[in-house]
Amino acid sequence: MKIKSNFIAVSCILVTCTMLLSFSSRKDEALLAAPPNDTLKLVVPKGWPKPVYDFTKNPITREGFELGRKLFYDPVLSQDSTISCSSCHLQYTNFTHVDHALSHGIKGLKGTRNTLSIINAAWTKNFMWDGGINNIEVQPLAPIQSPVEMNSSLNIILPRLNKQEYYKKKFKLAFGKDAEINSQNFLKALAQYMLSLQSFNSKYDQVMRKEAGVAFTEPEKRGLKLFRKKCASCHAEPLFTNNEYENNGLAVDTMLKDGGRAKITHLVKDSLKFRVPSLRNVELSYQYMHDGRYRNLQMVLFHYNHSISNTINLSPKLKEPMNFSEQDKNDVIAFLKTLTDEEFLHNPKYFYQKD
Amino acid sequence: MKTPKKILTGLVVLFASLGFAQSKRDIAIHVNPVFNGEKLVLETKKYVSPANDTMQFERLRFYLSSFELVFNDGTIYKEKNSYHLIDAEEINTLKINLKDVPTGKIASVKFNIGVDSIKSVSGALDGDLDPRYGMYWAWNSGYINAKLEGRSKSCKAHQNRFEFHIGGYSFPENSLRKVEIDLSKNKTGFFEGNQLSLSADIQTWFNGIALSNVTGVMIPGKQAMTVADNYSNMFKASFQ
Repeated sequence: MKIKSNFIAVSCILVTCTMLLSFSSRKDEALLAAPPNDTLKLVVPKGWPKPVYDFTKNPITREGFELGRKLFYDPVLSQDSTISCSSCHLQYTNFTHVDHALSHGIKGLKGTRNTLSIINAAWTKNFMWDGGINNIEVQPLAPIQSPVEMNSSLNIILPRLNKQEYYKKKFKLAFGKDAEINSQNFLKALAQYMLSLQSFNSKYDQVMRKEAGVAFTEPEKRGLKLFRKKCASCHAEPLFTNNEYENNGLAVDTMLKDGGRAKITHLVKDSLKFRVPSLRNVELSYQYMHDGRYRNLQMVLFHYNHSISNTINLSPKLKEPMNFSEQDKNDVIAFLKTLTDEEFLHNPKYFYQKD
Repeated sequence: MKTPKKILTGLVVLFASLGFAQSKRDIAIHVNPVFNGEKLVLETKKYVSPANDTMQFERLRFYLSSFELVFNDGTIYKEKNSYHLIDAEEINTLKINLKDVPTGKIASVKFNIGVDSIKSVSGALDGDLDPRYGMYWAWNSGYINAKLEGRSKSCKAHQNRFEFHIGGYSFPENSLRKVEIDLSKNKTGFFEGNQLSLSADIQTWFNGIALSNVTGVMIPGKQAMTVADNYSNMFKASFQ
């Protein structure tokens, strides 16, 4: 017992020393990286479900987060070193590709789907519009390997990173002194950054938390009421998605011919179904829909009100007409704008950092 | 009186475990790719399938996982973290070492061809399950359980190339295949040695498949299930 307690004591001292040392030498970096009271531990806001991601196997650390952030902004991931994750996932626009119906990868090649946001990924079970990706850790492999996105691979990226002293040092800081630059650590670091992209401080959140001095306007209140009645069965609070797949009545694009979820499940019942996206920060996530066909929220509301196509597997929830008046539509949009989380969108800890 | 008793028990346990430890050995499993019984040679050699397609092979990889040895007395040895990527181009992958196997008569060997569904949803893995070996699907997460590529004049695809990428981990398209090979019907009765050979006959893949009709399989589904059923019969064991 004595040996054990001595060992614990010595370890504690060692750990404390290491922490003190690393903090003092990296003080400036840390200050730059995050506001003083900020924590990297995932917060589960009150009333939210349990995250689906298993953090025990990949706990978020400052070093892992910083490494993930560096990789997220590094074009070395793409075949010709021209685009990075952030080329299509821009923080100010909710980590989506502003103004782009379809995004373009290397050499201007165009994809077939609109960029999805990656916020609140810890609560997302399957990723992509068709839900084909089953874990955030393997999500980056899709854009990395897509011929019209990065057209790259782990076998291209890992040797490149291994040539850089900077990354050799950062991988060891993040995953231990013997850590290598390998697939697992590379993907876990990216996951740590993406999992940290948490947005839960919009006006809506503040009102729900009954924070002093924050209240909905009359149109926002009316909008919330309409939203809960007509939209929330799919865009369920507090994540503003039920994490399911639905056919929301879009006329089929005859050029893209996208079958959606059925591409993964091969089931007729999933044909033309796509992921129900979260509406958090929706004001800034334009363009809208899986193919980005709508440029603004007015067009989206018009679609739900007037242009539902009765195609195979149309969501039963959309079979009844919405019957929104002009004012209703404006009220719903007013409410949707309360989901904008300025603090998140401008939080410097997510920025590209030079070091 | 209490303490000596404890010591005695301790000693008995210690000796028992020592004795147990001494009676363990490693078993090497050699995986030998063949075609209709002949040693498989990639690139240069030509083979003829049951549907009369002449073909050459360029790539053969598959996962073998969850190795178990079933003893005559019903006890079972299970290999820990048992995931092996077999690559016909990499000689060192053709040998699997099962460590610390108890001595005794082994009646059968069990394993899976492919990667189970639990590992398929476990994110970024390492070792043989590292997603960098061309055995992982990016757009539809999951491992390619087995891969066979080559060329045949019968094949109408680009450069006469055929590509079989067999995967899918969820019902009803789970292409994982369980294999159990009886080792008891051998002339010596049971397997008691430390070298076991498993020949993997690639001809089995082409049961009922004509390359003039099927140039490959690249997604989970019915065709993948058929090929997986085919190759689930590809193994034969031999030992001295």
